[in-house]
Amino acid sequence: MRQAQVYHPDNQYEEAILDPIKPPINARDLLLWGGLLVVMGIGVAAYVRQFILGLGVTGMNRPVYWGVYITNFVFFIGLAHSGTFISAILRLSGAEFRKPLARAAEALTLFSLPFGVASIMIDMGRPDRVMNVILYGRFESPLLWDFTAVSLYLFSSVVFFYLSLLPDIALCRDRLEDVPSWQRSMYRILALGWKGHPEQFHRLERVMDGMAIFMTMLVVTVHTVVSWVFGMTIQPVWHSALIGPFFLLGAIFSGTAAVVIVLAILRKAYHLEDVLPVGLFNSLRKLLIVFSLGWLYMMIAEHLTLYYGNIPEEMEVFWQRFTGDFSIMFWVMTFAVFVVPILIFIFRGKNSIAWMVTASVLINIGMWLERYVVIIPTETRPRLLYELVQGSYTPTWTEWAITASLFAGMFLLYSIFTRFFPVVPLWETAETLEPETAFPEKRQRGFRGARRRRLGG
Amino acid sequence: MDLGNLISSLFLSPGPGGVIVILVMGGAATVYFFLTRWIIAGGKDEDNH
Repeated sequence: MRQAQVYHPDNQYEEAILDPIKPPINARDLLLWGGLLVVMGIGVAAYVRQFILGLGVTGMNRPVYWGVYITNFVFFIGLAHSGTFISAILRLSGAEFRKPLARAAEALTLFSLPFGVASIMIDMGRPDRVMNVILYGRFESPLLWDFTAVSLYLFSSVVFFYLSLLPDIALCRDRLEDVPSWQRSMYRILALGWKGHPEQFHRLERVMDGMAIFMTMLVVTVHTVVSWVFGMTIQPVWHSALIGPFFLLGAIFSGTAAVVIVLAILRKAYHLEDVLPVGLFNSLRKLLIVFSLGWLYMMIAEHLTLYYGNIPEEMEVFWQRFTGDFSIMFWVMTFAVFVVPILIFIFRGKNSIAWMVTASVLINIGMWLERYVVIIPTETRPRLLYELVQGSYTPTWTEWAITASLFAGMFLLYSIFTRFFPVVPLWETAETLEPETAFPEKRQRGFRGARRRRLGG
Repeated sequence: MDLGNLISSLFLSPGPGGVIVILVMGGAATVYFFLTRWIIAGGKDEDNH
């Protein structure tokens, strides 16, 4: 048997995309990673203290059983929807602009989901009981649906991400000769013997198309099920059919805004101006305008229905949001998520990455506040006791330290990934994908089919 | 045999829910493993000839 040839598609930006991976780990990397590790360390110390002393060190109390940790859980799961939206949903719709963005978005999914899962574990006073979900799980419980959906989503996201990375790992294996031997070994092992054969590309495209459909279904399922953890209770405001779509829209909205932030950072840090042109941000701007308006529609639909229903328990929560204890947060959220960003998108966002990033940061701060405003006011005014109990909740430093460590962990994993793998898909953005030179005698059906799909033929 | 009772007990009893989680995750792992193997095997037969 002769040695098979290896083919890699031509990409004029190959040098620019591979450049961030080539240099050895330097002081700047170590400083960044060290700083993030310090923040994580503080959070770990805070968690150890919480584990020893119990949840009493948090601001949670009776009847506020869910606080910042569950807010983080919903927020991280929301961020995780960016990858599936950009990669899977836009893939199915044939949006070409998604290609350079896809990996950065998928990585955001991959590195935010574990911290969403971790938030649940941290919220548990007895994390050792997590196995009870498997051992004694009752399928009537929305918590079990959540466990199943989030686990499957995390697993499928890893596979989807890895498969799309496969040809580029093989390219790193073959092109990066000056990297340390352990790094080359890593590429060799992870490439799984990829040769760039037309049939491999054909099969990869088929699987990616199929998985894109499955991932789209999963993304809808996951965030709907997350919302049902609240919606299946009969607590005021949570118990609404609208909560699922509202959560889903918010998730895709904040996830897409997070992609803008990540892309702008990568573009600046790794000098990818030619690979990630301003036009990409303009495409995302249009999407974000649509999502902003969708969010406003949901807000009005939810609150107008509540107001006309005029159910006493629900009006308690309603007024808590508009004029009560949570009013400052509610109005800051409204301005941060909708009012300011939509003005920026319309009047300043076009061709301006700085303004796009400003709006996206505001959206993400606002969306975190939105989760908080959805969760906490209902708990402070529970249905059965709303006349007797007026709960309160103020997060403690323990909760803030752990929250900071979760975000630091996400940034740490993301920054490590970008130092070892191409953040822009080389094979998907390649302009010449003809493998004839490498496989002259092979049938080209598969590769041509894949290329036709790329060109919209 | 009361089929309705059986199905109902699957949902209401502690335990079967966990089995379903394991089946879902195990099924996904199996499917993804064979899909990945199938992709990588593309063109192998032609190379061997």
